[in-house]
Amino acid sequence: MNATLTTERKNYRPGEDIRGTVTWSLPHLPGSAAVRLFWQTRGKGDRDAATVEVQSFALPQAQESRDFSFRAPDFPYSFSGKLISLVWGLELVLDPDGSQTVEIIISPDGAEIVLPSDGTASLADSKKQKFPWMSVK
Amino acid sequence: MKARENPFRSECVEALPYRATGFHWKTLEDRLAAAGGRGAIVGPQGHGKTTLLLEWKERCEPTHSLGIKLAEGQLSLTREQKHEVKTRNCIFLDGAEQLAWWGWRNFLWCSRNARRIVITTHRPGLLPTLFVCRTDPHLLNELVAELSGELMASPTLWASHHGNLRLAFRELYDTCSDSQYKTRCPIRN
Repeated sequence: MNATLTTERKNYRPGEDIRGTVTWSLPHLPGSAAVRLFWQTRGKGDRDAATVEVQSFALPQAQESRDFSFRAPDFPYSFSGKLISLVWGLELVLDPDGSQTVEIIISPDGAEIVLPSDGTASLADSKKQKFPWMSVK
Repeated sequence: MKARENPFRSECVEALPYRATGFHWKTLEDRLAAAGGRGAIVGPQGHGKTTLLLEWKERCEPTHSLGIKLAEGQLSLTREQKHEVKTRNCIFLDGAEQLAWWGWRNFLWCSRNARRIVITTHRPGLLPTLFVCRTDPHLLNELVAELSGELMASPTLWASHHGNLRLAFRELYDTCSDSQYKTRCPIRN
């Protein structure tokens, strides 16, 4: 499958527009073409994932380039710890040929939140120290 | 090391294709045909039964095949699972040892029209045994090298987990989470 998915940038804040372009060149007409915005967890144990929004392209041709746009959701944020990471992504799905995925970051400052690795601080303490913008009850 | 960079994260381990000494798809298919289209993949936990079952299901026509993974302690199929079983030709049941005897009899009744039934179970006896999943230290080393690119499993790791590769990979995950190894995860994302 010859397809690309490009975005204007990789880092977003909640509420910002995620804009990009998908291009594909196939030997035949695809059954369907769509871009989906999703998040998934990576790490130890069971995985979790959710598709937040899908943008389908009407009447897709064999060779084509289309623009897409999403609004960056308010949550969850991109983060990484030792046990689990939450990764946002965009995926071009060309049925039945395959898919193309790129990762993006969504967080209040546009950078992946890195959880403390020592494992000794309480969640509330770590929030106060590392993420002063979070409300701690 | 961040979780998403750990070479022993779940998605990488689950992406490893099944392999074992003496394993061939054709032999497996021949054994299933000889057993009348019903058979079992047998082995202890963490020895690759589910991996093999899922790969077998992927090789079948998706519209006709059904995969069911029984939950821990699930004694019988749910109403929805029974309905699905009745309508499919190829049924792949993971964890058949969970079913109570009446749950097992009910599963056989619901699937009586299926062309092929393959189950995984810890012990032989429910259906003719098609393949016994086994592991060895060499296999563990091969998989570790494939995931990490450079690591070697400790000679005692396989034995300390009684051949359970899932537990061995979890221990390696914890080891790697404190180090800086780069991943060679064999998946695209």
